[in-house]
Amino acid sequence: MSPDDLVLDVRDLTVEYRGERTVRAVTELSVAIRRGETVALIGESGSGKTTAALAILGMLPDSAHVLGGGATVLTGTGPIDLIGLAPRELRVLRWRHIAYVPQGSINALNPVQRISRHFQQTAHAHGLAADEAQARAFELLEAVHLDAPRIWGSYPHELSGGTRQRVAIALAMLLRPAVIVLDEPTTALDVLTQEAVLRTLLDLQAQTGVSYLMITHDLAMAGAMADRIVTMVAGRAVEYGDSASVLADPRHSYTRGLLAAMPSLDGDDAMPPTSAVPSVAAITEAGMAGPLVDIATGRAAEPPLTGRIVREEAPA
Amino acid sequence: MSELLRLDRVTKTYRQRRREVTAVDDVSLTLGSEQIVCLVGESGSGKSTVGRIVTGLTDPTRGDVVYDGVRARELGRRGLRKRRLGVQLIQQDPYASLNPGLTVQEALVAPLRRHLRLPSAAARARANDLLADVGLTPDTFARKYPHELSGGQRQRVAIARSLTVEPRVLVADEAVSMLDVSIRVSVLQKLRGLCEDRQLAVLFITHDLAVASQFGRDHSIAVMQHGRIVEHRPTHELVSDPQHAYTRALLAAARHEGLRSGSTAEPPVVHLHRTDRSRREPAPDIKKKE
Repeated sequence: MSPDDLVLDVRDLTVEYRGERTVRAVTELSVAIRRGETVALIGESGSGKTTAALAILGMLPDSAHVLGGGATVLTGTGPIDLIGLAPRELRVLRWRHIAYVPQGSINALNPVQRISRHFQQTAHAHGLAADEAQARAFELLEAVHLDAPRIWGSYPHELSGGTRQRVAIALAMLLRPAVIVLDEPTTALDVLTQEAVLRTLLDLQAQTGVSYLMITHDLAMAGAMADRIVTMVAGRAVEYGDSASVLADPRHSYTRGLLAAMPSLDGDDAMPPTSAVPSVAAITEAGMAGPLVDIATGRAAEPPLTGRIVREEAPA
Repeated sequence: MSELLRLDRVTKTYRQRRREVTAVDDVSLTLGSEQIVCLVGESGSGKSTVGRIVTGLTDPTRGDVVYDGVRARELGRRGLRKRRLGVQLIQQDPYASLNPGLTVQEALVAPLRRHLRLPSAAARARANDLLADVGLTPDTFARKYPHELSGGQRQRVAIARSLTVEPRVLVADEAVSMLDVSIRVSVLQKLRGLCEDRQLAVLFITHDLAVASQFGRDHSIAVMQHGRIVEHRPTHELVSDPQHAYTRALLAAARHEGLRSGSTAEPPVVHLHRTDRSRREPAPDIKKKE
């Protein structure tokens, strides 16, 4: 991998929530994304995938603390470490270099403002001239297959869920960021609408070379969208690899179980054994602290990577 | 299989701002013991309204619901009560469907005492049996409150609770769609085993064709669009050889065909529609393309 291609480099990110109880949400997570690439973080609720995204975006709640590691966005003018920046500096950088489409963003648009106002405000906050902003917004709305002139004057409630999701994606693209973090981009959408939104994302990527960090619990969707998949369990990445080989030959027991648990339309449609997915508790007890091992060589490996890496499990 | 409940050309319309909206349009469906019917459709297709009509929470505008051989509108008070108990509903959100102020055991004991008139010791024993049936150890779970349980555990409690009154028909409306994939399988498996043991008729409502094909294996799937059942066939036939264009579109989307395959298919036209919160973006009108 040429280091010049990297747009986002997350290294050994560790995040903890402190409250009545201290919870380690993310432990030593490393992910690298190249230009024009999609990386999917998969895991179930509580696996730490959204916390990781929020940390990268500098949007963690006050109860969360980054204990170590970093997240760097590589821009044309040099690398910017996102963690530890003051909120004001972050606000300037955020939409410009890395943007976010949050989970449930179909409900995130301001109900009393027209769609036009959403774009104008974002543009204004980042010093983009109004006429230029509108030209770009129209281009983007067309790119996500919307009828821009009609959408422009609409209020969010006049739009369907799929249309609002497309607006949120266009809005995220306004300042031409290198990376967009998509958190469960299609939940709450209908099956056919989901598919159309996903296709829109791929078209946009082909046109602009934007990279996606996609957070999802849907392994099938990750397989269809992402170049690489990172499986997270209890805050740790347990398997890295390109999507095709992870799906064809999952190496960690958790990824294997998740794949077996996915209902399939085509294979043998018998229900898998209940024990298909090892419980998170069982995996953590079995010792998840094992090293990440390169599958090809069997030697300890360091992500980010192009090959296959799996966390060694203690023998059962 | 013996017929337990039948929808006979049922239609349900709502009035919405001087406009009539047809949620269910001339639907007929038979539920028999030891039979699973999966009802698949997108939001707004009318599948939940069918579930509410089957459970008796909503009356149809036209057509008949026949329970145990008697038309619902001819059921007397006792007959209605029997139907209410005989047809139980498991809802989507296990966080909302359990009373937060009752322990798991209390939630199960209440209907056992009220409807089966069991004395309290017997009711507690039965509650514990039901917990064990859904895979929750009574010693660990009986005294817990809903907030102490995970989503999957709550949904198991909701299943146990629906079984307290010994129903003959079970309606599961998106019963696993809020659960993680890894937990889904075990809940579905439990549910299917319990239905088989008790010879229940099941209406399994879901937006997810893959889940339907798994849960409804060896049974049947009915696909709904715009309030109508467009195709109702044995599960393996419907999945391997769909006849209706809408079923084919749903299957293609479930398989993520058209992503990454360099598909040249045109993106569907996106419609703007007026303030109409009950409807989502309409599916591309596939009938016309046929």
